[in-house]
Amino acid sequence: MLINTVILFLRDALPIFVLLGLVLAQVRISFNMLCTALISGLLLALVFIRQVDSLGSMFEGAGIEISLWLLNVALYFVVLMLGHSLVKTNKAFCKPQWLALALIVLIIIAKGSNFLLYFDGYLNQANALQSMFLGILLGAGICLSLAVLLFFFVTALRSRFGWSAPLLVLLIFASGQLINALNLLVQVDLLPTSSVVWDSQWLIDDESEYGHLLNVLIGYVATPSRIQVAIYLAAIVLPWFYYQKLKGFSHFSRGNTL
Amino acid sequence: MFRLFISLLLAFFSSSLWAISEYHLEIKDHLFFPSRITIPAGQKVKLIIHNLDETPEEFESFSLNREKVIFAQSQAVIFIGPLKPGEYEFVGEYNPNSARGSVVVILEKAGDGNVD
Repeated sequence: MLINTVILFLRDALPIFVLLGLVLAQVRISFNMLCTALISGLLLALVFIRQVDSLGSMFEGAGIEISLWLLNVALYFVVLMLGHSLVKTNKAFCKPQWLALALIVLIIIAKGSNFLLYFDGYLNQANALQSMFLGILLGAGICLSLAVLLFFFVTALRSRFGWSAPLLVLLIFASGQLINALNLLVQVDLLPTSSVVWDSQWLIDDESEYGHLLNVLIGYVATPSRIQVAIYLAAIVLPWFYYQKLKGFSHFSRGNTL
Repeated sequence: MFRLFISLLLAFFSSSLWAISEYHLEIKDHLFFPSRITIPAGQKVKLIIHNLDETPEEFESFSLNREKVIFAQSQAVIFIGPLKPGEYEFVGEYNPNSARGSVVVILEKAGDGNVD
């Protein structure tokens, strides 16, 4: 149970920690605000799993998939809004801090609810509590290490390239989450299956450690469908050109603080 | 005219128009029954998973690109395919040591599901 808890925690919590690393390197948030967002996200995820039974029976059994897909879509659009507010600081329609907090809450509900279901379902089993807490501690340690590394990587990018490169990294991450969520619609037959564009399992298997890591960071899929590739490219390129138009690349402020 | 077009489009993608075979899978004592399901190649099929255990289980398959939590004492539906011939493994993510199985995809028609 210990190893399984670590694996499940890594799978579900890694995107949360990656987002934290990416966002905190770009938006200055106070410790109190961060704690509020984490606790709010956790509470809302608990509310979500309490409603998951009734959600599951909605839309002919596709309720959970639709709600998780919507959460991922919302996450992507909040990233777009955050990008807008970082590029156009003087005409932002919302403070970047609030958007960053919304992102943290959204990703905890979208990714954390799966682990909470496991935690909730197996907590009553004999000797589960100790193994689970130990597993969570180990998993959190690994995730935190990666988040810190990402934080410093993005901070270095920011000091070298201004807002452009860190924003691109965040956009790639959000687009990856968006295309991963498309499988949810395919598995309940709401989206037709399209043909596979390439098969790179021989290079990086989805099930391997690198496959997992790349899936979280950039949305890597060894056998992507045509619709996934199209949406992924559009989700990165279109907003990127919009940001470039909004503020010329050369005018991106270097080391600008909020 | 637009409404007619949308209706036709929805009807085209709706699974009810196409004869989709149903396959049933049970989870009992953290094991899949049957652990191997044979389905025909090039066809979309409906997999109905019944969890008879008191704990939830997550059906997960990287090769099938599917992931779904099945709550205790309930069932869930997943559509898979069309697939090329081969063997596609799946696991119960919460009990990966015991809950394992595979979908075997064969060229000839495998019948109309494993249950009516």
